[in-house]
Amino acid sequence: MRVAIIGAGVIGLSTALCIHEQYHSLVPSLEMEVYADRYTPHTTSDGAAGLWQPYLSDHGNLQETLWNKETFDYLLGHLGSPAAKEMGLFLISGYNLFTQPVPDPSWKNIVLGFRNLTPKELELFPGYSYGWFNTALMLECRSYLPWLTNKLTQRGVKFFHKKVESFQEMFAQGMDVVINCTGVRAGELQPDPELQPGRGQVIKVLAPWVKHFIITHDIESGIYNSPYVIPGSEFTVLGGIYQHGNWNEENSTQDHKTIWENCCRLLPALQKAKIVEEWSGLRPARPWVRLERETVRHGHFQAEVIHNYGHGGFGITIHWGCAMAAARLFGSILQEKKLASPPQPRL
Amino acid sequence: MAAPKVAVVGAGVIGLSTALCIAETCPGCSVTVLSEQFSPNTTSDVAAGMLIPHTYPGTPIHVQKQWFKETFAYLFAISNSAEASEAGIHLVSGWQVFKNTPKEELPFWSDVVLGFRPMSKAELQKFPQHRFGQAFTTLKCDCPPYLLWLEKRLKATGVQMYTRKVADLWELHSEYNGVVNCAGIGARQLVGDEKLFPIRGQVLKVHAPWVKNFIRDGDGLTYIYPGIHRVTLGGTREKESWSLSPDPGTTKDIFDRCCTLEPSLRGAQDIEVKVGLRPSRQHVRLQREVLSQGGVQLPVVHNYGHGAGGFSVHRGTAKEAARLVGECIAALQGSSSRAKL
Repeated sequence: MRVAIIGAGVIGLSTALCIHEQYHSLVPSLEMEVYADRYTPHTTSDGAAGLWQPYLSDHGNLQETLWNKETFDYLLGHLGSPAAKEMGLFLISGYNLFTQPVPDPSWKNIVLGFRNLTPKELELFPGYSYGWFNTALMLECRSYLPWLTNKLTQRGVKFFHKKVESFQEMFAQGMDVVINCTGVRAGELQPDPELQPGRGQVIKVLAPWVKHFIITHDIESGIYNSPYVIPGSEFTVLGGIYQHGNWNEENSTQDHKTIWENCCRLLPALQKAKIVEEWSGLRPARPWVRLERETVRHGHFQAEVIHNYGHGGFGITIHWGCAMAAARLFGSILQEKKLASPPQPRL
Repeated sequence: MAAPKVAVVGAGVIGLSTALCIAETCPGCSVTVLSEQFSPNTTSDVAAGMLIPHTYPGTPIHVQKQWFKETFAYLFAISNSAEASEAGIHLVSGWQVFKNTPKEELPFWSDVVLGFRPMSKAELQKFPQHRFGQAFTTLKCDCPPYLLWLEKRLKATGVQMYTRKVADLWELHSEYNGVVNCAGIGARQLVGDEKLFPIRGQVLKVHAPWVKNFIRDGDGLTYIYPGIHRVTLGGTREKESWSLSPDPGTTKDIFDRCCTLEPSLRGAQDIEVKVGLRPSRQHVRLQREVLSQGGVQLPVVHNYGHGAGGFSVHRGTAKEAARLVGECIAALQGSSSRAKL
């Protein structure tokens, strides 16, 4: 049973691990390979600050809320383990700020200690009149992706640095199942007008005195178009850019100015922070995550594709729930193959 | 009488903040700081500088609360300004956890810190040995940065600072019109105060930048306080121990206790061990006194004995000490014909 995962961001690697962990003992012939044109630290995941936090509203998409919860609980369970540091996983508390009262988010009972901000706390943030405080998790991909890679390598999974041009290419190589975790460029393998880039830009600074995340919201401008400050284990990420439909991966001077001025207004102490790096990336935005099976005709045979892409700006937040859902789909493929008559000859 | 000359003895957080308050409230005064030690070698430099008050049995609660409120407000304003990083002041959130439910569920300072509330069941799951907890956000003064920032502010107002071991307050009578005694644990010898005793504290300062929240055991013995560059792990409370040498057995014990509270600390690097002697007393000695010998008088304001709570009340007690200095100077000026310059 040969399985290829296309994509080595947080979605690709975690899906690979989840499937391998669950099925390698059940399927002794399982051979897994990862194909990607970009590996850590050059994936979209690497640019993310790594804060676990879904969007404000799930738009009634309860399934995604469940996947978010599964991810949070899974990570929380790993907090006390020796692996946590290597995974880049730690607890962090912080603020969500609004200019008007808003309904509580779908994730209020998933995070720890969710509450509204007191008037005294709001004094810290002039211009904002309402907000939340909670404790959530950070999962830094520059540690998590290497950790996942290590685990996969230990399990005998092979990695290939290659841009896959089509699913057919994989089937021609003898793959039985292809897991499509290609993120923002999934449209190159199969057109998907629902998938659009949500361009973001961030400035990484040295500001080790900042111990809280601060995410502001401007209902008019939309998610991530309002300044945010997220302290990591080494750098603090300043952001607040979300440009739908913009494929440009180059840093923009105008965006730099927007981020810097807005974040310094939010946290005056940042004026003294040293800028270390600037980065732009494309969030794989979609109205909802595409997580489904597709049977693809391949000559006389049929092969299976499991799509797992379109996680927008909440890939880290939702990744493990999606990996487990993808693993369940894989399980159903296995079931069907067992029920099918003699194994189909390979090309 | 020419500009009154005031000497502040001691350059820890109490001495420096008191000198600054005097310079602020008495612009006509000439203030000089004299100390055997300056940052990074003061007791304050060892402390984590967390704004979590210590309760003094001998001081009325409303007074302690006022001191804490003033200190918190003062530092809150700095933390929210462009100077925050230089001053070493930052907000930090976390948990105080108890193995047994405390008698007092609401400490007197619960409405001064931010967002104080009991911990939820889900939060307590992280601390299986503890049954009750409080979550809140408070401020931390990192040292040396805070002391260095105070020194910079003092120099800007024209305050001079000298390294000098003062053996006896009286030795200053010919050079100064008034003296403020902020000698901390040094006051034991300096003014012979037998009610002042050390409570030895050993701490570890480690590199663990992923620790963003504080954790404190309500018994006050085990705590994890994330600073700008290092996390302070504590600690001990050894009454009447004068030893400034780190004890290796204690180091291991502190580390183990902290790792029990926060397992990820096992990965901490670069462990530095420090010892400080908390200048402890039933109540802070904050009062005026007049020393006199042979017809010559030297007004003294005492401001020492803050024990485990120096940072939490420093600005409040500094302001009170400055007020007392003001009274001394007014008294002097009232009888300037008899005062010796």
